[in-house]
Amino acid sequence: MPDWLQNLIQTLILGLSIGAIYALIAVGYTMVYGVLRLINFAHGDVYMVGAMTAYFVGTAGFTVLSWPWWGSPLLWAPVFGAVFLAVFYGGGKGWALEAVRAFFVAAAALVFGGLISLWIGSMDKPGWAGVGLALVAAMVVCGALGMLIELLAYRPLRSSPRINSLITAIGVSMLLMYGGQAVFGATPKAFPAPVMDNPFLFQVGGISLGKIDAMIIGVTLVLMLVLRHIVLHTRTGLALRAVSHRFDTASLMGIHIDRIVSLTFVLGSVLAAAAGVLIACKFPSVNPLMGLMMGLKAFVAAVLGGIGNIAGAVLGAVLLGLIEVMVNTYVPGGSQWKDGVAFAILIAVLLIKPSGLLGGKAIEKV
Amino acid sequence: MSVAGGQLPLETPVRRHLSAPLVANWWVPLAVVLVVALAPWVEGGRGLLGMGGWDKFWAQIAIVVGINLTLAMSLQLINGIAGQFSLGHAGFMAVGAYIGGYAVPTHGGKLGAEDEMVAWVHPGGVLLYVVALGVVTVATAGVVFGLYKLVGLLGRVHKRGPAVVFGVLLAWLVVDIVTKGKSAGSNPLGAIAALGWGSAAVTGSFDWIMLRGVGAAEWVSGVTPAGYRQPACLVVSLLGGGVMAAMAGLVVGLPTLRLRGDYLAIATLGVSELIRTTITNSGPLGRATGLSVPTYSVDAEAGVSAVYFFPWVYGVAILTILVVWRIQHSPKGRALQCLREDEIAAGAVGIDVTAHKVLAFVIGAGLAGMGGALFAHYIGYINPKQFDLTKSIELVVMVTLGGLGSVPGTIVATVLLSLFQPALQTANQWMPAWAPGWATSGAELLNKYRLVIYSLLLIVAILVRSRGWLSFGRGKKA
Repeated sequence: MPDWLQNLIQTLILGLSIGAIYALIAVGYTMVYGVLRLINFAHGDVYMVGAMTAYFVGTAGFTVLSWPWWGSPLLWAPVFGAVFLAVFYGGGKGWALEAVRAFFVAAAALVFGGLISLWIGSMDKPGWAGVGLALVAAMVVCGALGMLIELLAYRPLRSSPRINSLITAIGVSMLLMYGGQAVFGATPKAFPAPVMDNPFLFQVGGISLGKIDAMIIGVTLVLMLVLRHIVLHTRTGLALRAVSHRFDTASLMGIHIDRIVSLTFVLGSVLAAAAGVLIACKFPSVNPLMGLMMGLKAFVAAVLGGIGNIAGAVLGAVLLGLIEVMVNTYVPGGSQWKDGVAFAILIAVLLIKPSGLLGGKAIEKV
Repeated sequence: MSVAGGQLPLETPVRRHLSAPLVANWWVPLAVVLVVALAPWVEGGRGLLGMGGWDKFWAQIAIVVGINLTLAMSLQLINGIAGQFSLGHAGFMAVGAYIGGYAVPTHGGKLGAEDEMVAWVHPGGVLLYVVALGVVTVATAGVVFGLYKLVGLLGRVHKRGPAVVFGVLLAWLVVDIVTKGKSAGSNPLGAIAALGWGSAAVTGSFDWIMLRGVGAAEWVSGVTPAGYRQPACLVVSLLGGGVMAAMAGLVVGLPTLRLRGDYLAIATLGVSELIRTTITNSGPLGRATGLSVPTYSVDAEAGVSAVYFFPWVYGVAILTILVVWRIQHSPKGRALQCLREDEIAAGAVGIDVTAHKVLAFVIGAGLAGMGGALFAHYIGYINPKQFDLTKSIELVVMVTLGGLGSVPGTIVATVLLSLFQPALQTANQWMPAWAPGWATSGAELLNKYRLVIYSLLLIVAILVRSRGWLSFGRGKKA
């Protein structure tokens, strides 16, 4: 294999894993924008909180991990059962259907729980299990945080001009950032990333895929599939799409708007938390200001793909990740221009096609 | 213009008690500014330090307040009066700061320099630099705009034409770069070469002007009486920074002002970040480490230099306030407020929407550039980090809490918010010796969590009174 091709493929892999992180954050931006037409400035900081939670869990969690129950399906099956029940809950279509559903949920929970326990049980080092634990903890914390932010900061302003919500969002972002600085300290801290004898999943012909990169891409893929299922194949997802289509009409159709908006924030925040944990594994440094630039760039990705469109956000994020890594690798002095390129893309998209790559045409009514 | 009329009769009776004016007239803002501006001159303003009639601590705060007044007021013109929500004001501030901050030390010295303040003796050199830069910028913009128009004349360009060109260019660039290793633009043909020739032409003409203008510049400096050379340098620096920032505003505003609301906010944010990235990558401007700028000081004695800068800062601040206030109440200002309330209606009554928006943007950017130049000459050291999103947000908060569209409200909010941080920062020093222990430790907590308190207050303030706390009740309708 020629040298340049090898180099290129390696760069593409890196770009893909960065793009996956962007995608996890960008989806939160795009969903909130789709439902509320609000740029949730605090979203990048939710990601930061996710990384921070992971840091605390990661440092404190190693002692917890010696608990033998982590390797037991008896612990994991109910957890997955609850998750699946929440995801697949249909809401009263007759007891027979519910019974069948409950059976499948229980079966899936057992299978997944067994798999997880097998996985953890097979660990010789606690690193990966710690990451899994941190992932779950960060998702729970950030989900609650996202719900709280919406409830306290955005809901009271829903009927006032959008600019006010934007400023509140900036305020929440500052609160999280400075609050993080007060709690966490302003200096970056090292995240206890998993320790590995061999950091590569495989190495073929000079091309190597790191385990962390593989994990980032894999976790993102799984989360995106779950999200896709929720949005496209559940009644809640239908309600979410309806609210995003027409806010007022959806409420006339009997959809509980507040609940859907809450759910949107929870989903977005959970994904951002995952992104925070994954990036902390990739670049093991956590600091309270890490959410600012990352959030902005993920927002650029959402705009690039067409804001309000989930598939678009993923596409835009992957593109942005690839472009950024390419610029970093191939353009001389490119690492300095990396952030600038993202914003240049933003301006170009806003000027040429403000609705983004996959966005529909917005019709403005007078 | 009868439709606009400044205030639309759409005041909703509900919640009127909340939108009632807290600041009923100009006397309150005037009094607040006077107190801040005069505090340093009061004997022993703080802690009876015995610094004579001049308190250094208060002087620094007062100067920061003055600079913030200029910046916030210029943003009020864009965000409040014209209703074009900009999140990139720090970018224009940076342009002003870097033009002034680069021109004065590099071109303002060496005219028979006799003392240590070499940077401030050659106003002609600074003027020449600014003029050359302006001429070259205008010429380049003209050529680019002309080419654009020419393409338009050559035939009907497809709407997506630019997008296609952009994509092809990008793809070609990637292919070229990837196949040829790390030598970007090694291809003598194509757009990169054109860009290269273009930049060569630009720098060439700049050098040409600089070379030819040396005589004239020296004549200007020679004509200026020795005592007036330093103020002349400062004036040229301020005006140059302002004019260049206004040009940047024009270049940015023409395309981006098509966008509305939060899209515009994000676009301006992107532009200011781009400006910052460009500065970070510019060698002469000191990259990320920053640039040392000569401060304006007649006397090098410690703690006194601010005295001489004081009138300049407040002069510019008052000028900005006057300009914005008079624009607001001029026919143009009525038109701006009309298009803020409803762009389509404004177009329908014959207001040139684009022209007015761009006008407000250019004036606001220019004033912010002057504020930036003042900042550079006050702080003495500028780096790109000082002009990041946080600065823009700080200004937006001042404008919003002051009430969008309310000039006196913005003055009060700017002064109070500028005082907020230093007040909490020094809260423990304010404690008298007999204060109980819990008060002192509480003051230290205030200092530690001041930024958290600040952001909490911001959220609560917006939630409780979304039209701005200090507005006249004339702000944008809720």
